[in-house]
Amino acid sequence: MEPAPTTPRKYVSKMPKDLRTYLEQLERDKPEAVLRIKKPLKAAYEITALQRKLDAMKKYPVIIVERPILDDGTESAFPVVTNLTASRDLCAEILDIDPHRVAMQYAAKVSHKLDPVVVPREDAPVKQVVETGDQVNLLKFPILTHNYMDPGPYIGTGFVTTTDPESGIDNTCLQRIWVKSPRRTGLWPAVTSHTMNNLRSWWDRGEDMPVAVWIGHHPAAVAGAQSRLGYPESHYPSVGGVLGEPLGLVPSETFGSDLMVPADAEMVIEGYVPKEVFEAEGPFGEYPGYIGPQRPSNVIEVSCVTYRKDAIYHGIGVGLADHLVLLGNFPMEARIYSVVKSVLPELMNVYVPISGRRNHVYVQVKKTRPGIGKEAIMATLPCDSRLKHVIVVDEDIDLFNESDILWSIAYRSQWDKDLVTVKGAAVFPLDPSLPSPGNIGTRGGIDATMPPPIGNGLPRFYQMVNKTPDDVASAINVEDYVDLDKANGYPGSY
Amino acid sequence: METVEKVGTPKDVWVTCPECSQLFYIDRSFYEPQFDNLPLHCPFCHAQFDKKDSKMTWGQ
Repeated sequence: MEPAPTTPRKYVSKMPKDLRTYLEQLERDKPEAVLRIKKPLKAAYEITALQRKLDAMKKYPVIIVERPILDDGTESAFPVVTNLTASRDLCAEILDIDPHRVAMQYAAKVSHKLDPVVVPREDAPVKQVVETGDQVNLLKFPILTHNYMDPGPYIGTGFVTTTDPESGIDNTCLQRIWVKSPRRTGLWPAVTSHTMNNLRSWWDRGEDMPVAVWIGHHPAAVAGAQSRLGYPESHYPSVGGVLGEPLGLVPSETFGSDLMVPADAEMVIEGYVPKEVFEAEGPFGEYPGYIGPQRPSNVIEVSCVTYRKDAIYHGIGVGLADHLVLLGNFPMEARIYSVVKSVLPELMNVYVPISGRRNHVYVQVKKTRPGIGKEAIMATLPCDSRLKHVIVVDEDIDLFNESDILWSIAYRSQWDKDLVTVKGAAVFPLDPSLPSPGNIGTRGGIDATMPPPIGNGLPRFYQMVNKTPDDVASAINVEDYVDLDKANGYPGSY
Repeated sequence: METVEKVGTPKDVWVTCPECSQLFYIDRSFYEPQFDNLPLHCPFCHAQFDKKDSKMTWGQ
């Protein structure tokens, strides 16, 4: 496979989509979805604390902090936007897809690729400020510190772009970056990541790995960059497909056209991952909701930072919905749907819930014949190394209602017959229940489906679900008996 | 009845910073030969120290 071809952006007539065009549109069209905070808030812990409290209330506005305070007590020149990708409904709206049909509709978007275009350096907003060498000071940006054991500020929205040195094909991957000092960061590429493939290749050649980290773009671009692709395969055409227009690229300052970066990003950090250099990194609270241990990890020696004059720093609520919905769950649903549907036409839908934090997936099938539930488990597990448990349910279950999912497990499964376990499987290491060394564990699933009907138009050998007679159900309207204005005050249950 | 034992091997190693006495945990890979001499970094006081200097260590 060759590097993705690029053409000049002069062929693109309209204003390119970026983070600020999205925020302007959102504040104009849906102002209730935006929480602007004019009071000062510290980048260390306070912004995440607010985000966590809203998350506990199940409220997910896009949060703009106008006056973030840095660790040295000064006010940063750059505002923070966070919770950008926390609301499933809002994320689906951004992508112009149905939040209950993300699996198939997002898969279609990712498969539609648009080659990127090259933007002249003078037209690239991300080049408005260029700082190199001693001019670089990452600590002036309001990079968030999230959890009490984190050793300092972490970039949680850094799209790490590297290349396969053999083919020149770029790879982009969201990875955590600890800002240790003005020009040095930690970098922890997961062992199963394509970034790690590239790192090994560069080091095998005896060379440091060039790297560019871009931060802040239109959420659709962010989503496209997280697409689950083969290797080596550039993410930039997928970004264009999801964005709905070609991604504008510009040569990096340090590596020129060998490493292209998004021209409409808010900022780009360039540097090298030096060969065989390891330092302690973490502990760090990650997406599972647990603080992972300190690990030996790579570093980035920063050579250059470029950014917009009025850059907006995109932070993320690590381990919260903001970290999960668009940045992991949507691409996982799409990937699973595409792969499983190709071998199991009875697949109806896929949902990766926030609650399972990428370890759980709910798979809905049309049970036309025996064995489909187990087939769905077998087909789903290899789709993503982060998947640990697959729960297969019938078509009458509301896939997005976890009470329904648990009811299925409760009354449509027998642990000895319906459970599938695969011991000794490769897994993602961020699971505290894994035994050391933490990358081999048990994966599996539960077939929580009923037996199929015994024939066309014939019943299942299974008891019927409770149901009001259809004529009575249609005759009884709640609003005839209940003042809906008062209904919010009725006691709930759980 | 078949029973399954809860995961037994401790996953991480807890250490104590010799400077500030705060507890945190490290991955077992710090005990592999390649990383055996890599200094730890206290996330609380930012002291760098050898894991052998941890005041108390659990799960080693």
